[in-house]
Amino acid sequence: MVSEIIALKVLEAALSTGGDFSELFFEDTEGNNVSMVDGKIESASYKRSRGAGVRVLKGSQSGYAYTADLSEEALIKTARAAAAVLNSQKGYNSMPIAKNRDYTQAVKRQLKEVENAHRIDLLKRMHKAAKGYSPEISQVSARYLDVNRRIEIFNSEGLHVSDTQPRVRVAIEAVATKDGEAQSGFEGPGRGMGFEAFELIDVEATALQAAKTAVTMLHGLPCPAKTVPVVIDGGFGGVILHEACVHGLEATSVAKGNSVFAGKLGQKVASDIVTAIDDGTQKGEWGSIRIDDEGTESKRNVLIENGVLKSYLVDRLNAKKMNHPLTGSSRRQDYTYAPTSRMTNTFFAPGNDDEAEMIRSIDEGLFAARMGGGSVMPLTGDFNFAVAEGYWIKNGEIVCPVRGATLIGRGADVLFKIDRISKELWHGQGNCGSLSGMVPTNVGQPRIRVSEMVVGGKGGDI
Amino acid sequence: MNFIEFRKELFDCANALGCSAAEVYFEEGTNFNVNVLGQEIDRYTAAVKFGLNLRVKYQGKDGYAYTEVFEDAQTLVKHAIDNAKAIENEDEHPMQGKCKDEDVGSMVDPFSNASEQEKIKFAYDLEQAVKAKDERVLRTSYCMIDSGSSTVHISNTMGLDAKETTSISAAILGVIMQQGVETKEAFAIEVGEKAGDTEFLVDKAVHECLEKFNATPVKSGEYKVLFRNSVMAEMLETFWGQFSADAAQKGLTLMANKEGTKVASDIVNLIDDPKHKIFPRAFDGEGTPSVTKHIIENGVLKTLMHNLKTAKKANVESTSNAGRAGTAGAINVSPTNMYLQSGVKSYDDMVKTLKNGIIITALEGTLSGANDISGEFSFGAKGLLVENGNIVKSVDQITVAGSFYELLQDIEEIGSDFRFSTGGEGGLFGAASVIIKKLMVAGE
Repeated sequence: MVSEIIALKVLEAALSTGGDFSELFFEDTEGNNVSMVDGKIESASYKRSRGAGVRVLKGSQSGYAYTADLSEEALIKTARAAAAVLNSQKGYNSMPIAKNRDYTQAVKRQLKEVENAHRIDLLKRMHKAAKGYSPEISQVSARYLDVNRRIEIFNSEGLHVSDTQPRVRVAIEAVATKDGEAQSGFEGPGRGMGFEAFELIDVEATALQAAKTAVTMLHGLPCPAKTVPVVIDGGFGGVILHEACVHGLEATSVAKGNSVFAGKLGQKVASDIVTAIDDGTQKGEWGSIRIDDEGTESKRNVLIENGVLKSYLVDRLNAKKMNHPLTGSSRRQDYTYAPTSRMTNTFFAPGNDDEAEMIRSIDEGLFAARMGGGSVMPLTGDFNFAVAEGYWIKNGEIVCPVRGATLIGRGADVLFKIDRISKELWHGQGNCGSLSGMVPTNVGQPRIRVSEMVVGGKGGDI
Repeated sequence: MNFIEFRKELFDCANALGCSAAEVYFEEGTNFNVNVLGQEIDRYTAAVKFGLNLRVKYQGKDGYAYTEVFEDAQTLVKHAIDNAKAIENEDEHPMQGKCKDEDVGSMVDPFSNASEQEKIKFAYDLEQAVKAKDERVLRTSYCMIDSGSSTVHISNTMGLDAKETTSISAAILGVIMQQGVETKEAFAIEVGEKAGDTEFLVDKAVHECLEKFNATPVKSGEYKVLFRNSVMAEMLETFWGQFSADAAQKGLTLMANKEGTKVASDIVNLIDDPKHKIFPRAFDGEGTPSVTKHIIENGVLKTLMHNLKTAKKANVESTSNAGRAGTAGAINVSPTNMYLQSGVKSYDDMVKTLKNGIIITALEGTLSGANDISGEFSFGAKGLLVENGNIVKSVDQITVAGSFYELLQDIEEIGSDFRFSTGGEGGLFGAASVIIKKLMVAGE
């Protein structure tokens, strides 16, 4: 997106106030969004965002400036703005810029060639399937999005890399109503690939699942408020690992000591059966990357192994502070953010336990078949998440659906209470928000059981 | 190419390609953000941004295309027309014509004339002040000034030409304190006047952090609850969508068709005021001049929030609640400055009135634990247990659950400790403390 000569000038302008590292990040992203409500296309939009960001680091300090104007003059000005964070008179030189290494891979169905008719077809199929599930389905909204993100990164250590990152996703919300009450179900599968993703994603099955959640919850009772064992099904259930644990392993909090997991490398942080991984190398997954937004190749990072903390997720700035090897985890929403350590695809590794037994052996508890989102405060590890489709268990059997359940706890405790992990692993897709904006991530796991959790709800005993 | 030239090319091209009208929503601005730690600049961001959203009317339907690259008008127009052709929804969305905008004044921005160095100094002083306030302060997690100005310019081929510049600053103070073996964190986040008030920020962050020590859960059960002012404001921020005419017309809210009926207790007045001095704007996201309105008056639903599309469908006037999901988004319905009107009881009197119950001081998981469709919620929470009108202990690791609809009807008292305490680019949310008859709490 810019010549190596100009890039070098920009990097050196950024180092002119004594920084020890500078980076120039370019992004040119195109995307499409189509939304359907009640079976009719309601809105359609195209977006092109293009800009550059310059970062300067010195020790643990960082400056960042960005611009949508890519002229040489504007880029130099931006570099100086970032460099203004420091005030030494002594400048440094950059290493010579290498030839570009382009990580772009061929895509079976280029997003540029996709027309609105193809996008609309997916949404119509989803609407039909969801509406057809039950006469109680009163409303269906469906959305499609695709993004083609091109990035190019230069830094003062001579790095020069680029990549093209396509992503596609569909989302559906089904609403079921009866006698003035309403409940909903949501599904949102996506992939880090071109339009061929829809040969892998079964959009009808997705729609049926959303409708099933809505109708099931419509006939559910309010969830009791109680502390009980909880079985969390696989796939998006992996949000528990994401919130309760891995946010607290991001260098963003750990480097400053602002995480409950800070200073615990080599220590036991979970029960023996827990192995947790962040793997950005999985081909075609929603959270996958070939290179991160600092140009480091992605890795398969084993974070917890048999209950012992083995690794954090770091970015360049914090890797130095923490004396930790790079993990290929530095990400940002777009050029308007400086990058920092984030997740890619996180999951509990499969275990050996039986899916049915973990329910059978409970006197009273909750089965969270589908999870909603959640949040965490890394300093204390306090987390929460919403259960989108829940069932109450009594005497080892599911007795009725329950709605409005929330799970809360502390990251440092809950990992020790995982007492079952089953064999079959699968993933759900989400968008994670943090210091460097929203980034796409997978959350995954097999079905697990936590021996005790606080379950919030507004119902009485069942 | 500059904006004026590019806009002319877009309008000419849209006309030539058969569009009956075209509109450009252009936003440009600058932003400065600094976070200090250990009396050094930790993170610093400076930004120059701009973006242009083109909307065309083609055979009665709207298509959108956004760009940050002012080149190749024809391709952008073609994208927008393609998108217009895809639309099947038959609701008409009129474009605003020429309007006269009121002078609404501007919000208080204590940093509007401050240089970058002055903003950085303020942050340094803030860090020193909070460390000096209490020896239990370990460090700050955030000690940040965020300051920016943005110009929005909406113009179209029907004569609309609305332009406004707003400047807004925020101070974000996160304090980490240690007492014995416990470490806790609390925040003071302010915009407007209070963003420049070091003493206020320090007192608030430290006081709220101290409230968290020695916290334990309470027994599960039903409790009378006092939602502190910022917590009630957060409830409005979470559930404002229940009052969207767009959601109502799509069958996505239980407030649909309830205008004129009682939806809340008699003392509840919910107002949406884009002209409020906390953050005044002259026009909404499609150029309609700002209108102040009661959403709920003395417990009765008076109006939902409308843009020109929903207003036409409902045969009413727009309530100036058109918004955009960012510069790149299509026109939607958004609140502006939305607040629950203040009462007369002081916070201390409210606590005495509560007598026995729980003061909720913070909610967790409001982005995920709220069901937009049913109005039900289940959130993590922290608070203070009250017995015989006195605060007896700190509470955490609990959840509160209920229904937003029942909550509105169960509001028994409203205090006088009003604050605008949360919000975003569209506007702010404010409330005073409220006492709610009952909520379900899960704990031990």
